[in-house]
Amino acid sequence: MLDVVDLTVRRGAQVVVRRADLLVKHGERVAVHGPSGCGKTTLLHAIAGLLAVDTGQILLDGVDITATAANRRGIGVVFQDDQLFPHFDVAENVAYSLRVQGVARRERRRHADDWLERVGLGGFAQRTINSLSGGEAKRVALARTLAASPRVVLLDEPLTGLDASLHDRLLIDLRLLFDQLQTTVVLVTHDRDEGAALAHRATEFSALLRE
Amino acid sequence: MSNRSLRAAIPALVWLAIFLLLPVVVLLTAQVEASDISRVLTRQSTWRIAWFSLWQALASVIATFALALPLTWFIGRHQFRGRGVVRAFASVGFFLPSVVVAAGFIALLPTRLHVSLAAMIAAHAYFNIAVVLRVIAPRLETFDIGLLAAARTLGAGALRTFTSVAWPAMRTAVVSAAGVVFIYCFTSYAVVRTLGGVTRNTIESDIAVRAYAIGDLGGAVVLSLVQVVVIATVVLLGRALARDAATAPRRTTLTLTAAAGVRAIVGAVIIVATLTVVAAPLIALAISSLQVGDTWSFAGWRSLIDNGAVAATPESAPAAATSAFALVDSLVTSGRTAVLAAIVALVLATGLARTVVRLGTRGRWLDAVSMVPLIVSPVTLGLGLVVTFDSGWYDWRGTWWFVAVVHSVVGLPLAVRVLVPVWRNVAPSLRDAAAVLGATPRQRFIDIDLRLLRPALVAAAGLVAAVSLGEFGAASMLSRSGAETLPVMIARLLGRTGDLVRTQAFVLATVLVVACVSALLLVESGARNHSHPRDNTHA
Repeated sequence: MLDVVDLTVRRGAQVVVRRADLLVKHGERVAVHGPSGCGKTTLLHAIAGLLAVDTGQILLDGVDITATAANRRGIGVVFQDDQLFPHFDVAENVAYSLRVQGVARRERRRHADDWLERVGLGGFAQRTINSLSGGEAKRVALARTLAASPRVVLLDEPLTGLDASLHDRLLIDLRLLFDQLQTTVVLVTHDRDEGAALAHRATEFSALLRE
Repeated sequence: MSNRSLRAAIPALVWLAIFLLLPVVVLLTAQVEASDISRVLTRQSTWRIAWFSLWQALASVIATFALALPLTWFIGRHQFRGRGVVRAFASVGFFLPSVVVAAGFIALLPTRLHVSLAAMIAAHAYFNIAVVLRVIAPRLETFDIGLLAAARTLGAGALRTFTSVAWPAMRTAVVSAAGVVFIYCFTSYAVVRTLGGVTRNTIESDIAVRAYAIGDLGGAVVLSLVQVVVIATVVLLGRALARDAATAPRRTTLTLTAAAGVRAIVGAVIIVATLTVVAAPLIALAISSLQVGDTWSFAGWRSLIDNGAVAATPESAPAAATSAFALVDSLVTSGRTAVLAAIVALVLATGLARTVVRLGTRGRWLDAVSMVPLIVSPVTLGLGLVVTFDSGWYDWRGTWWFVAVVHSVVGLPLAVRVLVPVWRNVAPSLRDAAAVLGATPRQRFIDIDLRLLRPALVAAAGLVAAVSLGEFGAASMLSRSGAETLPVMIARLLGRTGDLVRTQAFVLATVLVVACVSALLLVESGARNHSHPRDNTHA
C-alpha cells in the first residue's frame, strides 16, 4: 500500500505540490488527472525519490520511505518520454535492474526475453533503441520497469504521442498485464478516457491537495 | 554550492594550483626585481623584439586569410561531394606539431629560404588555415543569402549591401578567427626558432633565450608579463569588436547551394590549389626522409633501427649523426609522455567537467578556471616549473614524467572543452531512469555518463595525445639530454650540420606526422561515433 501524507514539494523557490494526500491500496490502480503543469509529474517524481520532499511523508507498506534513495525504494517509473538507454540494446534496457544487482549476462538475457514476450516484443532483444517505433519503445519501457519487480508502478502519461490505433491496442495490453500481475499503479494523465480504461478509480490532482 | 558538487573538481584544481599557479607565482615573486622591469622595458632591443613580434603576427594573419579565405568561401557556401574530406584535409596543418611543419618547409623550400621571414610567415599561414576555415565557414553556411537580395531590392549598391548586411553577419567570426590566428603567431616558438634563425626573435623566443642561453630569469619573466598584456589586449579588443550578438543569424539551417558550371570549376581550382599547399610540405618531408644530401638512401630510416647501418654510411661520422639509440629513445619518450599526459588529463578533465556540468550556470567560473592554462605560454610554464621544482625531493626536472605533467596541464582545457558540451547533452532523466531501476550513484555514473561519454573521452584522449606529441615550448625547457621528446629531438637535429642528421630530422618528423594523424583519426572517429544521448526518439 502506498500512502502519501501531506506532501509538499518545491522546485527552487516555487511550491509545485502543496500538501497532497494519496492512498493507493495493494493491487489498486489510481488515475490522477489534471492539466499540463499542475504538478502531476512532480508528485510522481517525489514519490519515486527523484525529487526531495519539502514536508510530509511517503509510506510504502507502512514503512516511511520519504528519505530513502530512489534506487532503494522499489518503486518503478514509466517515464513520459520512455527514457530508454540509447547506448544499450533492447535486452540490456529491459534487464538493467538485474545488471545493477550483478546478475550474470546469460540470466539477464533470459529474463529480458521472458519480459519481452509478455509485452508482445518477442525477438526484439537485440534491436537498438533508435530502431523502435513509438509503440514498441513504450512496451520496452514498460517491460524494463516491470522486470525490476517494483512494489508500485508510476506511469507518467504512458500513452501520449501514440497514434489512435497504437494507443488503443497498448491500452488493452496494459490493462491485461496489470490485471494479470496485480500491480499497484499510479497513473497521471490528462486523458480522462485513458484513466477510465486503465484505472480502478480516478481523481483530480486538485482533489489531492488539502487546500 | 554544495561541497559534493565540487569534490570531483578538486584533483584538477589541486593539479592546476601545483603545476600552473605555483610556478607562475614563484616566477613573479622570486625571480623578478623592480630593477628587472625598468632594465627590460627601457632597453631598445625589447621594443624592437616586441615590434617584430607584432608585425610578423599581423603579416601572418594577412597571409593566413589570403590562403584560407577562397576555400573557406567555397566550403561555406557550397554543397559538393567530398566536402567533409576536403575540410578535414585542409585542417591537417593545425594539428601537426609546429616543429614538424617547420621541418616540412625546410624540406620544401630552396636552401636560401630555409631561414627566412617568408618561410616563417608561410609556416604560420599553413598552420592556421584550419582556424579560418573552422571559425568562418560555419557562419557562412548559415548566412541567408536572401538578405543580400533584399538589400539590393531596397536600393543598396554592392558595397552598401556588403557593409550593411554581409559584414555585420560575418564580423564576429572574422574577428574571432583573426584574433586566434594573431595570438598563435604572436606566441609562436618552434617556427620562429627553426625558420627565423638567430637574428629574428619574438617575445616568446626571447623569453627562452633569456632564461636558458643568458640566464636572465628576471628579464624572461618581465617579457612573459609583456606577452600576457598583449594577449589580454588582443582578447579584449576582439571581444569589443565582435559585440554583435544581435546580428547573429536567426536561422541555424544550412543555406548551401550546389556548385555548378563556372563555380564548380572555380571551386575545383581552389580546392586543388589549397590542398596542394597543405600536402606539399608533408610530401617533401617524406621524400627528404629518403634522401641523404642529393642521394636517395634509406640511411635515415635505418638509423632508427640499426645503428650499425648508419655507421656504414660515409656521412655518419660520429660528430654528425645521432645514434639510433637516441632516435629510438625520443620515440619511446614521446610515446610514453603522450600516453601518460592523455591519461592524467582525461582523469582530471572528467572530474572537472562533471562538476562544471552539475553546477550549470553556477559553474561558469570553474569553466573559466579550466581555460587558464591556455593563456600561459608553454615556454613561460616550462620556465616556471624549472625554477619551482629545482631542489630536494621535488627536483623533478630530470624525470621523463615531468614533461607529461606539463602536457597534462596544457591539454586539460582542451579535454574539458571536448567533454563539457557532450556531458551537458546527457539527459538527466536517463540517470533518473537508472535510479528507479536500482542503480546506485556510482552505477549511474558508469552505466549512463561514462558509457554515453565514451566517444568524447576517446576524442579528448586523442587530442591531448596529439598536443603532447607536438608540444615543443615546455618540452624544450624540461627535456633532459638523452630523453628528448620527438619535437625537441627534431629541432636539435635541424639545428646541426650534416646531411644525415637533417635526414634523420625528416625521418622523425615523418614519424610524428603519422603519429599525430593517427591520434587525430581517433579524435575524428570519436566525434563521428558520438551517439546523441538525447536523440532517443523513435522512428
